[in-house]
Amino acid sequence: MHQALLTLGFGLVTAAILSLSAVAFTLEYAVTNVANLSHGEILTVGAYAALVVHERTGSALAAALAAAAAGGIIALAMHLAVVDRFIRRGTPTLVIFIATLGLSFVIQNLLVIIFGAANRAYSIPSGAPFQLGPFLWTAVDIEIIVSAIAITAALFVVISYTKFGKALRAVSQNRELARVSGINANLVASATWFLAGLVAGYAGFILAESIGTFTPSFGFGFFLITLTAAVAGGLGRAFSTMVGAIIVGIALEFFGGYVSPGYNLAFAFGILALVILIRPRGLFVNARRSVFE
Amino acid sequence: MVGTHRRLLSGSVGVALLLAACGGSTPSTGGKQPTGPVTMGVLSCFTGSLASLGNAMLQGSQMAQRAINDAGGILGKQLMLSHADTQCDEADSVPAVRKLLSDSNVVGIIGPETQEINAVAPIVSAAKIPTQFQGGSTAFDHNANPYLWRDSPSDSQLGVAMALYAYEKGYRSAGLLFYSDIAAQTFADPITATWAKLGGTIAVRITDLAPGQTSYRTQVQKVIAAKPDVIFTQTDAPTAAVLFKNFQELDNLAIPFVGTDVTGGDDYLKAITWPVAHDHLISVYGTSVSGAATDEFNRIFALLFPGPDQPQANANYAYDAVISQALAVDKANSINGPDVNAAMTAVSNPPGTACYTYKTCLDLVKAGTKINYEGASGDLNYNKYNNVFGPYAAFQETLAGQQTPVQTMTAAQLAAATP
Repeated sequence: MHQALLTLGFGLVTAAILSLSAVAFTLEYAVTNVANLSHGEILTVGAYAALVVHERTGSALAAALAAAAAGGIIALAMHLAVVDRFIRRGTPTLVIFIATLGLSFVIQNLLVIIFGAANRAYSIPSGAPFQLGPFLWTAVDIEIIVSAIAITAALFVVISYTKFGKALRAVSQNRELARVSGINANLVASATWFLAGLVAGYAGFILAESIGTFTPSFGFGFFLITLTAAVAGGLGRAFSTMVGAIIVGIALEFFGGYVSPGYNLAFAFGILALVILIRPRGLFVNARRSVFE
Repeated sequence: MVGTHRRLLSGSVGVALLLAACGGSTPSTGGKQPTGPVTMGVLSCFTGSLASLGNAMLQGSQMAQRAINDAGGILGKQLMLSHADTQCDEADSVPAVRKLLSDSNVVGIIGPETQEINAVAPIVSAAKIPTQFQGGSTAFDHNANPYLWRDSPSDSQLGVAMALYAYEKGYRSAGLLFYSDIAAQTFADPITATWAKLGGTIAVRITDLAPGQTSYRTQVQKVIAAKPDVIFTQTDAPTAAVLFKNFQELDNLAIPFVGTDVTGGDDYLKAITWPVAHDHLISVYGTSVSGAATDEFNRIFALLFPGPDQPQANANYAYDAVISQALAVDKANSINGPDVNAAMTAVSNPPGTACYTYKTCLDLVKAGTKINYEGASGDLNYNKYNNVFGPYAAFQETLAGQQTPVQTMTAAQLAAATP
């Protein structure tokens, strides 16, 4: 089996997790114009919720649902308690940006208080690897990839073909114009953050399932790559972000395998710097603003 | 006039040196005496991925504190411990060590254990406070800083012990799998050199894994493809969890692991889970010698920490560090840093009457007997670079989360295997 194809297969698994996280991040950004630096903590909360439920029920499905629900609730709480309040007061975006960073540390430390700082093992038997075409995957890998595709497709349907999706797009393009058109922009923003939280919480579950262990800071570490993927794909459109995530996920796997695994993060930020330099609005969209505007 | 002063000065120094050389073993008199409890600082990482190192260091220090205070304390005063968190980071270690040194009665620092010793060293030497660190960095194998003492063997010896254990198990082809942390980097060369001397080959070498990644499957696949008999490893706990999971997925953990002391840490073993560690991992680290010092160590542990748990890996080094430093203070009869520092080898190195507990050693010091403290972690004989040598053992995790020794390697065996 060719090593490059194996690497591609492994990269697709990483990319699947990354794409869900990045899509959720871009949804949060789309309706509030705020890059939520506490996004990683939604994944972390999802992972801990999955752990708690799995320990009590032994059901991976229940754990996944709990992760999504917890993610949705924490994201909604973030929006209502912090982000929306600042937006209503007309606070500059940079201030809200910093506030979300503070929120990130608050949540991490709350998790330390509740669960401790040590690693929590989260072992779901992944089964023996099997060859699927040129790739070597386990049952869990397949579950991750299929669920990522399904969730992204569902999001596509919701955003493209529902009344809520139309409202979301309207708020994303011009919040004030949407408001004067009769759309309850605040409600749409809250609902979007809840939806993003559901996706991010589930991403936390599959990330924990893939890694097999986590700490209160594990989502924060993953957020850095999420940010890279979201910016690379282009903020504003879920599918563009997903493509960016796939490219970044696969690129990281190849870089780690063929250049040096010691500089993965540096490579990710190299991609970010390059994209910002060449196409600050992302590779695949002509979004109306970049993440740093 | 100036020349006369110089002659007087040099004459005085000469007389002082002569007196010091002929001074026998009785405790010195007239040194700086403590006005209250004597303090030792415990400097380590108590948070973060290597927090288990700090917890073990504090545990060993607390055990020594109990032994010392039960025996009447240091210079008649109770020993207090204060601790500060370096977070295993050089920048964070600076305010941490300064906090410890702000105590006027501090007589020594125990720790740190990782690369932050580089930031700590100039501060403690400027303050003239003897510091017993336990990092394995080979950069300190020829340490010239008189205030730095290392009471745990260098990683170069641990690397030799890992290679020796694996070779004696019959493995001949090895893979190296280390993350990019500086502390882990020091193992690759001694393992490789020892392995080559013993006749083994290195099939694959990955020593720059980035910690905290979500997947290492490409690297794991490379290792599996090279078909080594054994994998030498050290990573932090989160990285290990992903690595072991990836190995489980791709080859069902068919290749055994031989790890460093870090792989015997509580956090690491919990991350990969005890059953996996039991079946696939052997951790090599310095071990207690059997005898009176270890009996005392175990007795105090049972007093302080009743229950089924065993002392944490490396707690014995901290225990010996505190005991030996306390004896140096007793010998110097002073809490003045340079006085204590000068007495360090006087209580730990031969010649002298071997003693194994703080109480018996203290009684001998008070009686004016030259002592040679033999510790729970080894003989604690410092060489001219303030380094020690000691026995190593290979440990296997039980299903109940206990580390049990499966093979011991003596200092002589290690010396023979060292390239």
